[in-house]
Amino acid sequence: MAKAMRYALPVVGLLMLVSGAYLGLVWVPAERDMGDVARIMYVHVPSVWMMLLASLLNFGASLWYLFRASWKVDALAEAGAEVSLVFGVIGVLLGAIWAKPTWGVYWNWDPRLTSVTIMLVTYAGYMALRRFAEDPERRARWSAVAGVFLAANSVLVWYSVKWFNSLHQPQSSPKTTYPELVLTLRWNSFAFLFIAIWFVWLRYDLAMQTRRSEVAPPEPPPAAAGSPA
Amino acid sequence: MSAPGLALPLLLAQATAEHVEEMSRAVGTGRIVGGWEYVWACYLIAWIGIALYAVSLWARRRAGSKRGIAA
Repeated sequence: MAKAMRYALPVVGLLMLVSGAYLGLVWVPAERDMGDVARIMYVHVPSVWMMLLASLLNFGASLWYLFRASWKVDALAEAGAEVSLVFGVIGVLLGAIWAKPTWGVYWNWDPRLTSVTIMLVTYAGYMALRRFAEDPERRARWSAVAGVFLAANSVLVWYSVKWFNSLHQPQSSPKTTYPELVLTLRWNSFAFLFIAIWFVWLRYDLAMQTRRSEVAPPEPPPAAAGSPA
Repeated sequence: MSAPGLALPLLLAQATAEHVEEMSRAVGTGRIVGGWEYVWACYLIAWIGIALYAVSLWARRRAGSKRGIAA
């Protein structure tokens, strides 16, 4: 079952991504005010949602590790942080490109953009922390504490458009938009979700592989193991 | 009023009309027109980003497996 899921996730995700591109680029009508550039939303918003979802996974796993230390939970936290960083970088890049035709500039230090930049920098720091700490147990404990604190920034990113006077628009609801937009956004979001789950799965395996090699007892040297003397 | 007396108001009216037309062209209808180059750039970056990360995961897992076998 797990093996089937492992192959099905990228295949379904890829098929949905291709059909989602058709929906976003061809099928859905241009938006009333933003025209065709609003089509960027169907890749920008899912990317940012995956960044936040993966950061939520990192937070959950970090908190879990502090109460019940386990390599599996630590590996899950590591996978969540890296996948969050990848989708975050994609999402911010797309947002900057979308900003040019709508705001007239690629970048503006408004609360949403500033908070998301801080979030990406802190996750990059989190990944660097994991690389620098050599002792696996200490690394897992430090990362878990960092992961819990980093979650505060995800909350700030989500609410920045509501709490502060931001150039970035606040979250829309299906009630305020047209049905074709909602369908296309949901379709692309599920495509990104399947791909994100697959990425987390692969990254988790990679982290577990590294952990196993780190905590395995050292092999005896070839001379000592093979030589009769 | 003589014809030369009308020249200035007519000139002003014409200049105003031209100015309004020019401003309307600059402001447009309030809707962004075009911008497909931005749309394509975004879709390409998203696809390439996803593909590159998938390749990176595959390569790192493969390198890890080889290390495991070597160990």
